[in-house]
Amino acid sequence: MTSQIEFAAAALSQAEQALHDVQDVEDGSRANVSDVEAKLAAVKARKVKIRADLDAGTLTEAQAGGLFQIAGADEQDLADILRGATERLGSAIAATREALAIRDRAVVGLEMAERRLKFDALANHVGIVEQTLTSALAELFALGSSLGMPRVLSAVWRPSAALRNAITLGLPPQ
Amino acid sequence: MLDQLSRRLDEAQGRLHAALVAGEPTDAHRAAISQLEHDIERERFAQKQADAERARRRTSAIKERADAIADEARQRIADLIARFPLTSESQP
Repeated sequence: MTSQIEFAAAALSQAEQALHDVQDVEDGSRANVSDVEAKLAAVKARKVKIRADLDAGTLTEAQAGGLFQIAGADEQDLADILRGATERLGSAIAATREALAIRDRAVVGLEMAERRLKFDALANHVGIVEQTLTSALAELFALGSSLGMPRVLSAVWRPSAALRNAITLGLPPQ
Repeated sequence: MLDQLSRRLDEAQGRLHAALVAGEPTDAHRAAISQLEHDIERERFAQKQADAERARRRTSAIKERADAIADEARQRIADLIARFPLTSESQP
């Protein structure tokens, strides 16, 4: 009985851990992209400042040209890095989505296993209740007879309408 | 740590090479290299142990969580049966 639950629980636990792992990777990838984007924005701001300094006459054409070249190279490098980081983030997001789907399937698997075991346990319990009821009825019938009551079961016990309908008509009780 | 040791080993090997080329004594360089190789080996072993310990803790955490999930499920099954007691004393 328990092995189904244990199997489903182990699958769920592993799926949760795997999800946690890929979410960590995704968080790291997202932080990396943000970091590179911030650096890229800083380089762009640097270029604007160089242009402003050139316009204000704080920098010579030659100085501004050199600084612009360095900033341009930095911008290109960062754009390349950002492309790679964005691709890795995309892969991480896809991995998280897949891990989420696996976790959700594991949750459904556990629910199904639990439902099956609840059914089996309750069906077994109903059998015990029924056995108890029939034993009690036999005892009740014997007691009634010894008290001079008619020797028919209906003289000592009448089932409820719900039980009668369940047994004779197969109607599930409400 | 391992990167740092590897870098130091490269540097020590460079110094040994230079000493050999210059015809200088090499014993001290050889001893330093030997010590660094020993340190690298020890560091690698320590890292392997740390990796194994991390894996063990992870496996243990997964097992603990699986046990907790299974316990909760078994409790819900027991709670269901408890809703239909057989004795009149235990009727809600």
